[in-house]
Amino acid sequence: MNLLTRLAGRMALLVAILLVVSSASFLLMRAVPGGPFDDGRHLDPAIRASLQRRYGLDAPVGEQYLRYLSDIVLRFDLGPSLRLRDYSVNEVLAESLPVSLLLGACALLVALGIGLPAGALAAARRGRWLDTCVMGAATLGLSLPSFVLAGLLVLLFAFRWPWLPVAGFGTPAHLVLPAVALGLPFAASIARLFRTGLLEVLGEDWIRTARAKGLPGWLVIVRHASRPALLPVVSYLGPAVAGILSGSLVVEQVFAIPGMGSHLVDSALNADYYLASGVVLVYTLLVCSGNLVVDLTYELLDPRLGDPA
Amino acid sequence: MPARRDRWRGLALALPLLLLLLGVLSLGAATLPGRADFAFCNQSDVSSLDPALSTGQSDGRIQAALFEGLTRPDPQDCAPLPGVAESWQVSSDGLSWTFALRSQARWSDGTPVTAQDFVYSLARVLHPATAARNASLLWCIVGAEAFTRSPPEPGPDTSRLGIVAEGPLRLRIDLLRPTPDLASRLALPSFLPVQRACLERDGEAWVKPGRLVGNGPFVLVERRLRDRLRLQRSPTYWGADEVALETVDALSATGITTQLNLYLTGEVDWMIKPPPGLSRALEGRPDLLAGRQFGTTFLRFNLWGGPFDGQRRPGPLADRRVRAALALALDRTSLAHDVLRGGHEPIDSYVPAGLPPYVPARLPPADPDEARRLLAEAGYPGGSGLPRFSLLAPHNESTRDFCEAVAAQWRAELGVQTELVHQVFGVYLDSSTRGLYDVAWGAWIGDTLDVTSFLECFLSGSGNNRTGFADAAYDALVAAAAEQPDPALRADLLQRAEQRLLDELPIAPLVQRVNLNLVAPRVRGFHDNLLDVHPLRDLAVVEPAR
Repeated sequence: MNLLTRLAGRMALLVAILLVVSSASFLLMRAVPGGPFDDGRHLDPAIRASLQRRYGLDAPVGEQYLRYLSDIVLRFDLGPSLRLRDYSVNEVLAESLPVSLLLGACALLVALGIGLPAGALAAARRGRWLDTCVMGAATLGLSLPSFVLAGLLVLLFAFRWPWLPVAGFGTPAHLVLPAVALGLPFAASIARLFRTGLLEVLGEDWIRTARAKGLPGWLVIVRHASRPALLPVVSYLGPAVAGILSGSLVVEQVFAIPGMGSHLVDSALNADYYLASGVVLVYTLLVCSGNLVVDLTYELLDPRLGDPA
Repeated sequence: MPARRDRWRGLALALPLLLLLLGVLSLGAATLPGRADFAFCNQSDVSSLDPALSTGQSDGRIQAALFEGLTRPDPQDCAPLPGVAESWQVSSDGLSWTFALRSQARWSDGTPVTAQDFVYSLARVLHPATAARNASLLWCIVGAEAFTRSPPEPGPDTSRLGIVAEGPLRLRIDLLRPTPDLASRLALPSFLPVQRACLERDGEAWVKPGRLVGNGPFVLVERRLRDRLRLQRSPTYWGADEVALETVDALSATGITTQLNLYLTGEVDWMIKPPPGLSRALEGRPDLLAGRQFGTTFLRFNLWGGPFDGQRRPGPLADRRVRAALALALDRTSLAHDVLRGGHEPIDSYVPAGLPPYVPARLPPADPDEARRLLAEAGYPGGSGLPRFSLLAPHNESTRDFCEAVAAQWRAELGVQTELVHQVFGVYLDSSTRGLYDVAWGAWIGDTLDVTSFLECFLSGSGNNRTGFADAAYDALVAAAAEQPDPALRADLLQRAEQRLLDELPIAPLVQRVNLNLVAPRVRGFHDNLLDVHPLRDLAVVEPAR
């Protein structure tokens, strides 16, 4: 019951956030000079008027906004794209959202798959050269932004050793470099957090008991120490999901991945009002629900929090 | 019940992983079979496959592959070649054009292409409800302008348009004034035909793969936003034997570095406009084709001294001598060769050369002494007393370098101080249209190889003018040329108009624009030309892709 009430509260908050974000993006887009039909050549006023009528841009902004909101709420219709004119915003999102989610999930997998073992290794070899190496690499990884890393990866694994495609989308191989470029900086954070968490736990009495039973060191870490040590990592996953989503704007561009990121940038620059607002809404939804999932996972991992029954 | 709880936790962890695995595996299943015969970077997504909504070259390349107009551009010199029209005749007064359509022309569903299809398609482009941005290029046709300007409901009357099907294979177009480049205009993507039955059957969804019916050399196989368009040779195209490529991929990659990477690794065979910053590194490569474009980069001077709000404010730039001083102080050769590089050449006219019988008017060469003299004569010796003015440009690397160089030359030669203002393209357009600038970077590229497309920009009422320049003598010369059927006399009138423009100097022409293309050596049939138009129909490859 307790959990359900809190969930309902979070949902209400989410709706409020979405409302604020959609209003802000809608109104800010209109405030920028220049419109969706400007391309350097003068457009005859008659043709411009026809275009505006066709897309409902001839009404006052307040009326446009109300219509926009009611279309979303009543029909889940995010409007037409003004620059990708063969598509509605719903169609653009239906094509690009799964791609972004796939890339984001792979990046998260890279972050966890590299970060956790690296952190465990460093904790187990605390103070030795391996620890220093792993933590040094992590610091480097943290300070390298995705787009630099992306360029470096392309240089090495597409040009120096042509093992992987340089850009594009279509086969699992196309996902490797983008997922690594996107996930590696987060792997570095996770490694540091997990190491710190483990070191704290490894000093506890019950760990000493586990060792005293004669369990090998790695088993102590995997079976006993890792769960409480994961808590800081899990709470970091919320910001990490947000970071991966926003980082994918750049990585999608560099690797020509047909996700939502490039739509966000282009639609904002091209005054594609409906598409920009739609993409912003979906990003907001993703970040908020990512945080929600993390909070729920937190309760699963730490029985001291949440439902006592 | 700890065991049950553990099982749930395991499931909670396993489920997302399973979904992820399925996602990655589904990639393999959805993949197009291999790389196309020929792949190129189309710079961005096509904004629409509907020719009427064509907005730029990225759209045009694909539309011209899916549809064919009455004429089509010659890949070597852009002159109009027979397309669906086998031949055409112009009446002696230049006001009536008759096109004979070829009987073998077919839509991709096998039905014949008729004159009625063109009546329908051209009327559709002109129709107010279509809101086609290039409709005004056909306002030379009888009744066309009123047609577009009429209210969209109930819709104008097609019978008043000067576009008539005189038989299934015979089309007549009646004009208000001689339009020598009509055959070239009709080859533009905006005026390609669409099939009425297809549009009426599928409504807005007619452009989707599997539904689209075209009459061009290729058909649409697949379209994935931000990824690619796959085209395949059309078996029903009348000239299918002349089309060498079996499949074509048009990639949507927008990042310039990404496009270059794709080219350098052989994933694509053609990259358009490699980055100017890299032209130094690419110079001398045999696969880099640089050539002159039918376009000019110039500076606009705001003759109103402020916003175009109906009230002129006499400022320094309203003085012709100040504008002349600013124009003559600039070393155009250095701007082209040292700043822009990549094959740019200085220009001393507004209309680019290369269109006989037209001989462009001439701006005198750079002359800093004369510039200083003119500035002093206007009351600003050594630039003293001249207020600091703004130099507006769209925000990108090459215009930034260019404008910095212009400002430096003015400072060095004339002691003139400028403030550089860089704005996002849409905002820059808005500022220059409303007169919120003193001097602004500007460029014009012709739609067809016709001088009027350049000179019409600076007519008093033109929306492309954006300088406040309004000159009755200039307007009269351009209007007289529009009525003149004789090519030599017309060219002479236009040259006098251009000379008037270069005497009054609402703009200072600086550099001729260039085409830059990286084209793999295995590609055949690629020719540099003034309009930078390279129909996929005429390209070929000689060896398999890497």
